[in-house]
Amino acid sequence: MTTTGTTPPRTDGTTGSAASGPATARAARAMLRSPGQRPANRHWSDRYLPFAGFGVGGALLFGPFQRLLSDLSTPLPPAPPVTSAVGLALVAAVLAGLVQIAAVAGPVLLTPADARWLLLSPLDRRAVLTPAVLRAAATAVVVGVVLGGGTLTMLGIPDHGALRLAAAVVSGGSYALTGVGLAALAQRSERAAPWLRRIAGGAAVLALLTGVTVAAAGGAVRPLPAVPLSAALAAAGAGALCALVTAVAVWRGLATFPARPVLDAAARLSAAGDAVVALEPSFLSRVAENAYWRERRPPSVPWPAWPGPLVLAWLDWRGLHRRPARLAALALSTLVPVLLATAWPDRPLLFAVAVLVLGLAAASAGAGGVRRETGSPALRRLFGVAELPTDSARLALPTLLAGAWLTGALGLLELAGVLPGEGWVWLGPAAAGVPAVAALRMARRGHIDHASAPVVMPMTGSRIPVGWLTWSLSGLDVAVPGLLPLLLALSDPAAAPGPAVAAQAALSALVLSGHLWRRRRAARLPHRS
Amino acid sequence: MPVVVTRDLSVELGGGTVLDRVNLTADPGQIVAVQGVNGCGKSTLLRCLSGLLRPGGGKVEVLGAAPSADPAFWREVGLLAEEPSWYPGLTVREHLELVALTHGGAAPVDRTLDEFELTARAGASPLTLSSGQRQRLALAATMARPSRLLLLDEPEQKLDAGFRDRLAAMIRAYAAAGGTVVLATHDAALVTATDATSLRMRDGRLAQAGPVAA
Repeated sequence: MTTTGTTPPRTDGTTGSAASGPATARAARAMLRSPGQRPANRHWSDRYLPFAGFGVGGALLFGPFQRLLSDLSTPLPPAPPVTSAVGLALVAAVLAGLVQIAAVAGPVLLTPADARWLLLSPLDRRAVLTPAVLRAAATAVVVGVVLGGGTLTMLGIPDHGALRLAAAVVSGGSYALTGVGLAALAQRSERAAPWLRRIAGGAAVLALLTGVTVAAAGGAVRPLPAVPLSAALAAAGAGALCALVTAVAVWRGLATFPARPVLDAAARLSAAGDAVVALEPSFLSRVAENAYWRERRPPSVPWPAWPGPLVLAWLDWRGLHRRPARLAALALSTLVPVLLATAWPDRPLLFAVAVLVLGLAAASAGAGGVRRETGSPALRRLFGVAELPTDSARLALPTLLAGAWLTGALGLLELAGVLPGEGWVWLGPAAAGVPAVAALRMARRGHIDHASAPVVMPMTGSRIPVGWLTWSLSGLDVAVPGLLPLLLALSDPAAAPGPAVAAQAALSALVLSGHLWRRRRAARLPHRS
Repeated sequence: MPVVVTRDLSVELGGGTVLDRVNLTADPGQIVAVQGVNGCGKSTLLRCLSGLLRPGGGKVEVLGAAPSADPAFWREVGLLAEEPSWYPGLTVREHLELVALTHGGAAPVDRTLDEFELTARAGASPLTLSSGQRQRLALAATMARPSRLLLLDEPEQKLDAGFRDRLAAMIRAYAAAGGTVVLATHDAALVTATDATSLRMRDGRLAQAGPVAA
């Protein structure tokens, strides 16, 4: 065994260029694909699975594609004016959301291992990053093409179906590509990246607000002017030019792309990967919450001189007070049911489900303390407070948030004329307790129990993973039956919601009483802390 | 010409000052050990030197220029920071072969495995190694290829006493051959064993230079 240690340092003192480096990124990736040329990595299934996947995918898509081509020969009327305008606003919101997601994810994104072993090496950086950029570009083009097709169905096809389709998909693909390309350019800069996220978020909100305004205008909306074919082709050409310019700028910048933003994106990917591999979605929310607080230095505030249970509940109020953007997002989300009801007026179940889900989300924003404490009630033990008073105190904020959100959303639905008659807002306070109880139940469910025995279906023999099932249903098992009067009233709106309000208030009182009784009973059990 | 020069290097993170006007110089063949309590800014200093963190103020020069995004920078600089992510499908040997492939001029892999006491686990996945063995593999990947500057963040962690002595000898040999080492450490024995120039960092400032009592 030698004792000289490491390889001696370079003595030439030259830095050299990446191009004259010891190996190419292609060679390194080839080695990673087949390390040591082991035959185990050349299993026949490696070739069969992609081949079969493409084959099945092609067969599935062939029929719709053929129908689409035949439909193009006949004129397609535009959608109703309100639906067209709201649909276009939603398309714009999705496009802005795509840019926002790209900016959060990377979009120049390597796996954590690639980031460590290939990025921090003398390999040509452009060659290392090109596959990641191509993946992001392909995703953008696919999403953009779908958006372009959706836009075309709303604007209608008066003539030249094939040319209009080509213009729509080229426009969608190129503008989406431009947006993701801008996100890649912004990723280089610590200052530009947050700005782009803000701009994309603002654009999404603006598009949603526009959609809501149009939806509220209802029948007063005039039909959109017909788009001449030349204008559609010009828009496609301009989009393609923008995409080309952005792509060239990204390509030129790849050679000296800084390592740090790619490492940060890889760390985020690693956290997301942990959540997927461990089948544990709560990892993601915890990582996002930790990342939020890591970038901030909240001011120290003295603890209030209140009884212990109220102090623990106060933590949730303080946490929410320190995240005003979250409250603003919740307030804005009250517009979503109106948008959905306007875009799909014949599907009342859609906005009823949105009311259920977003109402639960609003209540969950006030259940952070319970979520953090699940499995480790250290703070509660430190305070030496009993479980029941703490639970009761912690119900207040989720109840208030759910009540306020439901009142706002139902009021907007009523204002927009989606709900007939008056008095729908009273369903908000009447229902508030149910989402609060459901949110606390969701917060208390902890991690998924992957060790639970699966249920074998007697007829098919298939196995149902009980851990996933119970985890997914925890909270919904209270919210859905508890909000039944509200959901029934929304799915078949009547001019007088009074009976629904009374039934909902009675059911909410029952759910709240049942929850407190159950918590009291649980607190008395000897194994409880 | 100094290999590392910082002038009034300052960094703010999360609304607080992490590095406050740090001045540091390291010459070829010199070993500089930065010591200090947890959170005093040692790792942040190394991240600035490696170009992975842009300073808020002041100047950083490594090998005569600001740390750049040019990949050629990594031909000259080896960085050991937190535990790297491993390729689950690659063995210990293959990780070192990858380093040899990407950097060129690395020591023969068999010799590296021997020096870092990993020969017996050469065919294993890094994920099956003990934490100390993984630290040795990370050190091997950093040190067993040519460079002119080594940035080592707590290289001694998780290592047994015997290998710590070996690590000190390796660092000394590297410096004797003309390389420069900047290491952040809590191990006073490692500082002594490497004859390092010791600097003490406190609240983001280099507060004291010279030998540090163990």
